[in-house]
Amino acid sequence: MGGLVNLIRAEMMLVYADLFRRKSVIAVYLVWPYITTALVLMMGYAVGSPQAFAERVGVEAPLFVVVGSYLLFSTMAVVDDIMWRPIYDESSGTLPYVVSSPTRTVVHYISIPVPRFLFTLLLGATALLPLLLIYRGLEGVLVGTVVVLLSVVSASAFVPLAMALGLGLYVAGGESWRAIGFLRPLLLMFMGVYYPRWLMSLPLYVISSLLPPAHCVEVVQRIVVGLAEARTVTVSLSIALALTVVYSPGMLRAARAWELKKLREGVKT
Amino acid sequence: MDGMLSLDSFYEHRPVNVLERETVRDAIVAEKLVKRYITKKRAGLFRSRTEVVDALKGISFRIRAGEVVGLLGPNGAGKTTTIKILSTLLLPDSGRASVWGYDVVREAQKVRRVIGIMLSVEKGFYGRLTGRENLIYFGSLYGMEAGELKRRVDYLLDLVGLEELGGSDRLYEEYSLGMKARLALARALLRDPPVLLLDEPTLGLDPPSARRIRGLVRELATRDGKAVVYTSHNMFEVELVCDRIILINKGEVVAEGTPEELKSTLPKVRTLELHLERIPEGLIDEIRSYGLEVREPTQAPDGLFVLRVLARRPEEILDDVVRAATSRGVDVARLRIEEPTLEDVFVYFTERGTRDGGSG
Repeated sequence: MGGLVNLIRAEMMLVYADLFRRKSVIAVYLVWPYITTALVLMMGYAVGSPQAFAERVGVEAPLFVVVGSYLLFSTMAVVDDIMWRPIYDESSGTLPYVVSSPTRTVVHYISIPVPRFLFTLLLGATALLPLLLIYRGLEGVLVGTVVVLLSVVSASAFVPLAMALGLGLYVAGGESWRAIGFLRPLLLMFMGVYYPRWLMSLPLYVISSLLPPAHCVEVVQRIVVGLAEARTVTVSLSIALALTVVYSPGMLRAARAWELKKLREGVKT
Repeated sequence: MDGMLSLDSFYEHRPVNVLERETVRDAIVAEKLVKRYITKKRAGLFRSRTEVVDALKGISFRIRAGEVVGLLGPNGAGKTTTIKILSTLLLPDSGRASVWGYDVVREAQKVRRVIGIMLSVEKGFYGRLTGRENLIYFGSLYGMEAGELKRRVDYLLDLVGLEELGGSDRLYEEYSLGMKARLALARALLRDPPVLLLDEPTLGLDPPSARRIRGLVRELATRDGKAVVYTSHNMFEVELVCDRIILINKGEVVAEGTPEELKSTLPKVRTLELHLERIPEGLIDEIRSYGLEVREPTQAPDGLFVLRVLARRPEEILDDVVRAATSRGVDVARLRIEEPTLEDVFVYFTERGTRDGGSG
């Protein structure tokens, strides 16, 4: 455990340097939650009717979309970090030193997304909480806190599947940004952020059910809409955690397969 | 070794939880290592052709603790492949290798605890971290405890001379090549490993940086008993640093021994070196007609052309060669007889590709 904490601390240093030593990046990061919020709302108002949405779903569109986006983007930070890292390490020439370290690949890759995820979570909260305060008053702040906590659960639950999918894709087709581009829209569609899962058709619902964060998204949406019952929340979160356990062997296998592939080809120096 | 820090304090700064080291006579053993790369080459719009490259064809060697061994060979000979296998970054197709008694395939995790590697001078660190932060990052990855790591990093930055160059807290992306090499060596020494695998550690470095690295490597082997594998194309450097040389060509060991042993295995051929204002037409052909080997002429910094003629007894052919030049209206500005160098050994064995080395 001490080793993992040290690794997270080291990753924290890397993320700090990456963000805070480049003024342009930190500026983009700071305004990013607001830009995303504005963009999502603009698009929503342009193509749909807020009234129709409110009638059908039972909640104001901005609130629904922004809360879902917050959860989605903080969860996506995990996938991005895991998938981006092998590409970055290969281009900067650090991959041989990472692979030849005694730290197991899976442990290292668990530590990688933690700092950026926490950063994304904090920054996103600066846009999320004011919005909830405006729409729901003090109760909104409480809902916001629950959403932040559920985002942590969602991202943590997603690590095994993200690693299994990400490293698995790299084993099949090699490290490429295209793999990230391929996964992102699928996740957007199936996580149910912009279209509630309980309104999905059966095939979509089944596929969506296989994603642990989709269950967390559903819980958050139910809380926002006011449909959260203790039983459904418990069931959803239990399924998310059960899926995490189910995907864990896949994560271990993908990490091992990726390392083996690298060792067979020879890690590029 | 001028400008070298004393290594006396090195022993005080050793990590406390490094692997208990036993006395291992053979720090590295490679037995019949084979590696074949299969690559796909595009052959038309939709077709590709599979190409097989035999990188290693069953090489074997042993390296003892406290020994610096130069792994030499032309480009593509298999040096980097060998280093990668020893550093657990590449799986061999067959054969076996062990480092500090641990098998590189079956006990890769244990091997990783006893090696320090330096694979590229110009990259291998995170650009937006400082030198110190980079070492802390990799130390954490290597499982070092925070307090111990900090002390070790401070010490190593001093040892490799980055502290005095003001590089410890400068961003890596602002480093010169010499500073990058020093940092790479510091990383290789982070855990004070008994085995160092250094792939061209002085490539492209300025003389002070190269000298610093050579000096450190030499002392670490002599005083600390580290086994060092050192690849380089700089024969002067290899002769200076290495106790023994393993010459690889086309995936095979073609010679092995100390520099002196290797030189003594050359056929008793020496070099007659002539410095001429120009190379007149027909001169080289005439010298070759005496049954002598003539190397392609080169130009010296002073503008004179240097012609090298290989002969068993250069004294005996001296007159004929000089006459051949003067009869074509060219004066010989300088001439000298050279003893064989390590470069001659390299050229001789890599051109012939036969295994006929010294004892080793």
